[in-house]
Amino acid sequence: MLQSTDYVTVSDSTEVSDLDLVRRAQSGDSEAFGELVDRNRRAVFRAALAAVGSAAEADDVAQEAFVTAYRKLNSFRGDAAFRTWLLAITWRKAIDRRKSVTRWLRLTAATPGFDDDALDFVETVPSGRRSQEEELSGLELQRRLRRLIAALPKKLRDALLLAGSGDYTYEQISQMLGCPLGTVKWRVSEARRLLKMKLEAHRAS
Amino acid sequence: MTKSDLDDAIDRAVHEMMSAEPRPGFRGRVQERIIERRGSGLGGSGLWTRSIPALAGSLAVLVIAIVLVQRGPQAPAPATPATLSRTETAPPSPIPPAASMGPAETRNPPAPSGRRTGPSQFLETRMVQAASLEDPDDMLLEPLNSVAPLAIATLDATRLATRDISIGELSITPITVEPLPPDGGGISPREDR
Repeated sequence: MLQSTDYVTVSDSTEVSDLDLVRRAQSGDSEAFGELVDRNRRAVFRAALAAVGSAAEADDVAQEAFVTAYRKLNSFRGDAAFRTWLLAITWRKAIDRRKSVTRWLRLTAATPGFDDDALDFVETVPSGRRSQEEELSGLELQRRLRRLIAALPKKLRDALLLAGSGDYTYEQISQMLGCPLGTVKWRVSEARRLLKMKLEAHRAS
Repeated sequence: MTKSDLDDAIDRAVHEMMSAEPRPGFRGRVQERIIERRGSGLGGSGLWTRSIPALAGSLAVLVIAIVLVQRGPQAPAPATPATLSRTETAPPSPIPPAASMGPAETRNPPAPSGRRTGPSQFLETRMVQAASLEDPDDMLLEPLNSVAPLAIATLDATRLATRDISIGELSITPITVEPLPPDGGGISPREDR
């Protein structure tokens, strides 16, 4: 039975593989599962963030992903890496959240100028008049880029954010998105091409 | 700004967007959520799996009970051999097979007066119940009139006439392909590849 005091840091975590921890967790060692949470929380959280765009929602989705992984742990047989399996669960949860009607309603109410592609990434961008100097600065470029990334088609944006985070291999992204490796690479490349094209079009105007 | 600068700017923007971290105490929150789900009976997959058949069974019993209550004390209509035969051997189909089509009066037999089809009977029952609910003092439903047995004329199936099919000899005309001129014949490669 899992108790509040069961989670204790595994001292020699660097020498224990994820698979060893999974085997221990499958046999009822909740401390081992806690170590798996610690090891993978950032990767899980950022995968969710790439999909839902809000840190608060990503945190919630990440927790749900770990709870689901805990429930389904006995079905994990070790055919793939634990992290790959966990990330696939996370991505499904995140996409379900993104598709939820509640979120759609909230987005359309909060940002009427955006469609459901819009993310909360850009909500931190302050609005208002900006000086000419700021317009020319790198800061403004970054703001504009974040808006453009948020407005990319979802498939391109997902691939770009996951690949650009540096937390995942292309193989892991391919598993998460459920598409071939070459498709992931094409999407990243296409996302970059579109961003550059829009930036240059804006500068020219 | 060069292409390389744009690439760097994109990398920085993506990195900034993805640089967030989970809030402190993430492991504890996951632990609490697991314990919470276990407490509510949804955490253990075994328990959850076992409860599904029980829930489905309860739901089925409930639905059957509702249907029986809605039907009330009405006696079922006596089934004639013709009715049974029709029900068992010829399920209703939106497109009847051409071979089984007889004369027009056979295909569309007039419905006997007093006979109600399933959906309309259901709707009428609903309407009677809705009317009675408007008057709470009159909750007793009158039993429905007995339904006359369904009479269906005997189907007269005509024999399907088929034509003989023969296989003719296949003739193939040879195809000659002209070689392209050295300059490609004015065809330029696609620019988007």
